[in-house]
Amino acid sequence: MFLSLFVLSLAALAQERTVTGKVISSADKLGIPGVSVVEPGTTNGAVTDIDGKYSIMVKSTTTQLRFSGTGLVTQTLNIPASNSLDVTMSQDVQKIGEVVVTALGVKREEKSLGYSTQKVSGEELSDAKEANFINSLQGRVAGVSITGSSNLGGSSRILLRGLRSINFENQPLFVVDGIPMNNENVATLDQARGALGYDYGNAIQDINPDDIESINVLKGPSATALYGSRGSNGVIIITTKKGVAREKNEKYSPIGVTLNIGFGMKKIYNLPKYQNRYGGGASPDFIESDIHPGEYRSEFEYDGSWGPELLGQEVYQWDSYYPSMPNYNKKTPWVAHPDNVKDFFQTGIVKNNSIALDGGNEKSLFRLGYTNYDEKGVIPNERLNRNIISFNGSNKFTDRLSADITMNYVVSRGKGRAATGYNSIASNFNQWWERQLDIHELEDYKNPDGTQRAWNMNSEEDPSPLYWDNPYWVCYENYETDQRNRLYGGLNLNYDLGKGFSVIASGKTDYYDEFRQERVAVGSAIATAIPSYSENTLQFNENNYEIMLNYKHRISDAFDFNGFVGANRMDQKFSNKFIATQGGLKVPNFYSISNSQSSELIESSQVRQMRKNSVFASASVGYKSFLYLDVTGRNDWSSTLPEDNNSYFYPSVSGSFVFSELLDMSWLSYGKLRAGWALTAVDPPAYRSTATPALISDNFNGVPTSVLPGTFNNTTLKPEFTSGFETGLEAKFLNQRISMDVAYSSTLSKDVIFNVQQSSASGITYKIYNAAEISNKTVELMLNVIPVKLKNSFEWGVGFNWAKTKNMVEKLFTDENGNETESVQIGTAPFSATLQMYKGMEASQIVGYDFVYDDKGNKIVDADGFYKRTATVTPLGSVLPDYTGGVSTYVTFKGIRLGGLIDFQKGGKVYSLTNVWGRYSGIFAETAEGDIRENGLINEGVTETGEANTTVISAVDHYFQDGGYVITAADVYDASFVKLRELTLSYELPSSLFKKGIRGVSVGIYGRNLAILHKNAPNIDPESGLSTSNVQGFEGGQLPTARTFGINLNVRF
Amino acid sequence: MIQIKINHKAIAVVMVGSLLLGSCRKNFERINEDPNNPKEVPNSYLLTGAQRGIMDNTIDVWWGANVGNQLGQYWSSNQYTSESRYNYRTNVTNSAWQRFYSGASNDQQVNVGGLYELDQIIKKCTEEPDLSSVDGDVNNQIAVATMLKVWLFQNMTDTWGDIPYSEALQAEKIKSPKYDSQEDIYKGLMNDLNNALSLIDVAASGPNGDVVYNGDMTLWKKFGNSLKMRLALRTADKDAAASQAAFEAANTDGAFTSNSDNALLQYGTYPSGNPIYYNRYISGRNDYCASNIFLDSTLTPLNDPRRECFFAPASATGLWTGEVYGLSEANGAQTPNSRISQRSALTLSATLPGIYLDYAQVEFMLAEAVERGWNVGGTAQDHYNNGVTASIDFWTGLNGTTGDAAAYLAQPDVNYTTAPGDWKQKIGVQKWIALFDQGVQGWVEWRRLGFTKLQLPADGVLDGTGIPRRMKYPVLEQTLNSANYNAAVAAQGADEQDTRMWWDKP
Repeated sequence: MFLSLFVLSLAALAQERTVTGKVISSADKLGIPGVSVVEPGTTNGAVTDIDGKYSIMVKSTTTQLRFSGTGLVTQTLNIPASNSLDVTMSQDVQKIGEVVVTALGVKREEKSLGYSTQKVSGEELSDAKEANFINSLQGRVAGVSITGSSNLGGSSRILLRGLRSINFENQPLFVVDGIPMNNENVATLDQARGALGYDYGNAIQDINPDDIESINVLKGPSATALYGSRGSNGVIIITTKKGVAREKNEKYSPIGVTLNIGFGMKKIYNLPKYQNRYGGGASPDFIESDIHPGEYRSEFEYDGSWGPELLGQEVYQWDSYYPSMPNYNKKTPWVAHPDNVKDFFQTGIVKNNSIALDGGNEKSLFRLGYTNYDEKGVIPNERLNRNIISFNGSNKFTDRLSADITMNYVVSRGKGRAATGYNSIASNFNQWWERQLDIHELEDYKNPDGTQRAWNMNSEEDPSPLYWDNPYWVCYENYETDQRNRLYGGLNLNYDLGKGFSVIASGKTDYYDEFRQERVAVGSAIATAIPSYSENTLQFNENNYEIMLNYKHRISDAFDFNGFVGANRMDQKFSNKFIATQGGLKVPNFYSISNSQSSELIESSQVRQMRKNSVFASASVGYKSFLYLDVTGRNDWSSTLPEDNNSYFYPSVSGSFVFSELLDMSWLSYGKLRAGWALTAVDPPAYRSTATPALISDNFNGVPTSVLPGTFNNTTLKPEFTSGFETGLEAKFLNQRISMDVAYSSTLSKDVIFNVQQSSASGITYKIYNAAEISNKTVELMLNVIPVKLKNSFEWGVGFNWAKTKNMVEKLFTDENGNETESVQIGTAPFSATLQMYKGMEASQIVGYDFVYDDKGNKIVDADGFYKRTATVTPLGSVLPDYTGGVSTYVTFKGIRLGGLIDFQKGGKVYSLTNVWGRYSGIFAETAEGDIRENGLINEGVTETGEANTTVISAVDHYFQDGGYVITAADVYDASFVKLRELTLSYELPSSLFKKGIRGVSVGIYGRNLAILHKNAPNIDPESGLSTSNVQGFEGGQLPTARTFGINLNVRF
Repeated sequence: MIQIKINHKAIAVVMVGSLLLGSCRKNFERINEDPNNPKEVPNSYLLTGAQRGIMDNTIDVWWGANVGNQLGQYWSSNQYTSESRYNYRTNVTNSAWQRFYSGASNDQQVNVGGLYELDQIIKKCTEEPDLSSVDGDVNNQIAVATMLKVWLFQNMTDTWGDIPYSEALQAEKIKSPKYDSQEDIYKGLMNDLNNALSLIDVAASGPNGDVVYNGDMTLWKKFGNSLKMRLALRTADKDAAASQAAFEAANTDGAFTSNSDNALLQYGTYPSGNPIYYNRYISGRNDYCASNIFLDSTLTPLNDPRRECFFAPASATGLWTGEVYGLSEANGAQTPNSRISQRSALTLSATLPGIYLDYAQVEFMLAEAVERGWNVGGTAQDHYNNGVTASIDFWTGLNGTTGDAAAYLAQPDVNYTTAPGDWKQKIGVQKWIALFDQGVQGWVEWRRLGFTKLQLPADGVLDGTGIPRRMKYPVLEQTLNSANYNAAVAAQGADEQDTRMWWDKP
């Protein structure tokens, strides 16, 4: 079809002439790039280059050209006989409010909106790509807080203006070209709490940053009320790139080809500070050897570094017990290997290559893209590979009927992802390590007979691994593999009924299946896991069917009306099947379920299904394009609520007042006041409003067993409601050199559904109720300034955004006797900390034992010289930050663009197991400072009677008893940080360099996650995501942060 | 005026569309039907799950090894030694409380039952006897579930003192149950037990799913009477008359008379094995070994034939050497495991049975009853000898070895007439040995009889001043059941390990 269209347009080529000229700005007389120059009534057009110059071939009969550009007053001018036409364009104050995509994909002028939205362009995300594109939003949008992880393709948790739910989803809805996308992060509880597991990441990372045209963030309930219950946490609307109709021009191909080649390298940094003075062992003395009588050996069975000082003593070490190793039966010097952890990590390689074809004419447009993202991780044998094919096209069948279609297919493969949390490689290095170990000696991790060479052996006689596998064995033998296939797309039919009415019918689908295989090889340290093989199959499908009737009417010169009514059905199905071998593997190195030692396999299966029907309507009235009023309403019927009470309605009303329209002040380009109120609702998860079922459990000696669940359902559940008010002021000054947006929002969520914990003595531990109240008050500030803008095209801009959210748990649960629940637990870190919601406190408190302080704030020390801890556990602070924000800056000059981004978080707490055990085990530098191991130390504090403490205690006892294992607060840290997130430098080559075929070339270099400029938590990166669940703030054994340097080449034909 | 022209086609489109999408709500109930879990399960499934659960969670690594076997000083920790110095992790107590009351996953993440499941069996038998009768005579089902409840409740009150009992297990009605005094709990348990015994019909069918006695109600009756003796004896110093009457009645009605009556949970092979097996062989942990108090100061000097059943000689030296009880972590790590007696193959085996109550205990109780002047027949020495013999036969039988009980008893330090100390000391020491692997019970006997074997941890007590007289309540109760918790602490005394419970008060 496309081909025949081209043939037709070729026939139209008759006599032609070329018009050239330059477009300059009325403000600074500089050339304006990107202005579109069109032959009116045709699709023939050109775009001005970096200097504002253009050249267009037009029919000899054509007398006019139309010039238009974003934010500029469109002009249609006669072509002079000289065929040379220079144009001065001025900024269109009317059009300053750009068109933005709002709820349900409705495009609106920004000035007409009574709520805040914030747009991020695709280019900002694709300059320095991440495996999970969510991370690229860090620091760019006010009120959006993102917790990334150092895991390859790992989870990034995103919260818009705080959290509202205690047990359930708090992340926003993602909508790509109108398709609601699943962002589930199927992670085990142990993974989320930092115990052990693989971080497979959240599913939204399937979206390809190269395909993104723009992202629009709808933060508050007024903006998202039309999405119903699913929009209650905000909505992130992603618009992908579409095909562009191109002018017929002999210089270029009618089909645009965009080629992107990206290559990056990743290096770890931010390792903990280690001590290199003492080696492994429990005491300063070596152990008398059993098999070399009268001689000494290292204490390899002790996975800590309180051992003998590293003075080059000749002793038997782990490598002298393997006959196949060169040091067999030999003593070797006891010396430090300071870089033994650093040298384990390799340079990661990131390759991101894509090609996109696009084109079309006035009837049809299309874009076809293919991207390959390939990342070799910093851990040996670690790899992530993603192939993405995306297609979208639109066609106008008749004057009234048009259709568009989007299809995306993503195949994502992971291998050897590093396990996270306690018991992972990182926890081995930083929590339970012998500092003298030579990592290079461990690299050859297998004996010729296939058994493991482990440094942490059971005994001299039995050199099999005790608690820890050789880290290389973990990477190459106990690796996981995973694959996700995802297909998502939609079809929209648009019919113009006339008289301002149009109807859109659409069907959308999001489908994926995911297959995860995990292995533990025969010969591994069974202290961490027995040899096993498991398969986990996930399947997700959501279909949406929607019909919408739009009506647009200019009622009078003063009034505009815009409205629509519609209906939607959502069907969602999810299944999760897990099957694993039990009791070990029969044949080593063979990974199949049939290889299970026991024929009673470990199995579980979960199926989830839900449906939601909705009707919705929206009406907006504009008065003289400065006063706008919007009213929306939506009603949902949800299958997850009790049948007789499953309908709920939510309205919203918002308005804006563009006061700059009424004022005539040259310094004020634009000014708008906005305000909105809305009510949104959330339905409970599936199967929780029915009678409580029983649970089938494992057979006992072949006899069936069953139990009653510890968490009860509730047949009287109703939806939880969030009402929200927001207001804001937008202003642009001095020809938009300064623009600002201040927003305040306040929401109150009532009847929040959660599992209320009760005394287990009642027979159950949790029951689900509508009970809590959670409030959020957010202030957001965005400021963009262009301090320097010179005639020679030099421009320097600075952007700043900042948001403070106060996220309070107002109320938890009050029982029938008026007893109020003080707190509810939402997660348990391994060892001493828990995460809880406390009534009257900020949400998500880390809870544990604290130090005991006297009136003057001194820590109290007990009679033995150790710190006293509180008798009971107590809240130690919220994991949520006080405020977050970012500062971005750019400098442009003649096609060169230099950009930088710093983002920051103030406050929030993190409980760090790396610090708990890294100090307990005598690995970290502070455990060997001064001569504390020889002389002991005195805890700074006062005795119970108020005198200064003078009791000397041994260093090892101090780190055993005064650390976070005993006194939780000792390892709860302030998670504030300032990070140099990004630096980019790109150069758009002048188009004059290319003659034919090439429309443009740009090259860029970038750096991501370059440095932690400031932090208060020692030895770790305070940004320590493990999953996207509500269990946050636990650092269980973090991989070191990695920085990426890369280069991008972009060629457009 | 604002006028909006109505387009009839448009209205029609929307009406039809909304009808299509908005209707069909009838399917909602079907869609929200839980496809993963059944609404109802047979009583027998709950019984098996509870019989497994209350044993798993009593003897597993957290409660059996860290709490019971160390409070009884049978085992010693070779690392993470804070429990052997009586500083317990808060999560351990929290989850034990939860596992006992509400049932929960065991240490291997298998869902197992607790008091709540047992209570639900009783409730279902009472409310829906017809439906319940497919799983055996409903009265017998009630009796068995009740006796198991009494067994666990007694373990729990002997651990904490006052605990929720009369208001417990009414999940939907009472979220925060009050704590009853231990005295009331003992009265209540005795009452429950008498009711259960009166319901037993040995001629009718026993419960299905009974993996302890396979539905043999005669054995369950003996179990009930043996348990009644244990309840009665524990309150002997508080209410001698009532205790004596109950004890004598139970003895007359018939308690255990041989090891074949023992109430055991017979563990099987993988994956139905003993939880300690999982900890050692599946999780690969070897954190516990013989305690010097039990091995070096007791079993070895007495030439106890059970020594090789419980422990193994140190692999590097071949010697029977226990780890010094209650070392600091640093000191504990000094001695390689190869120089310490580890647990025996038997005590680490998958098939090691869990003991609810055994015949040896019954005989030791009878010996004590004789000493107290109660009318139970026989001499204290006979019962003492029977108890020692039963225990040796039981353990050596499991171990596939032979133990000469007569020779053992003939030794002056064991012989009832010549062994040192008063009857409390003599019976106490031998009963303590016989209660190996029933750690909490061994600790109970130390508190009751005050025999002098147990010692303070070598590197000092971390919490409290001596060997605990009780465990602290779970921290969660302080927040979830605070009013009742505070009332219990006010009534019983500070929530400390040194506070004595009702029957332990001098």
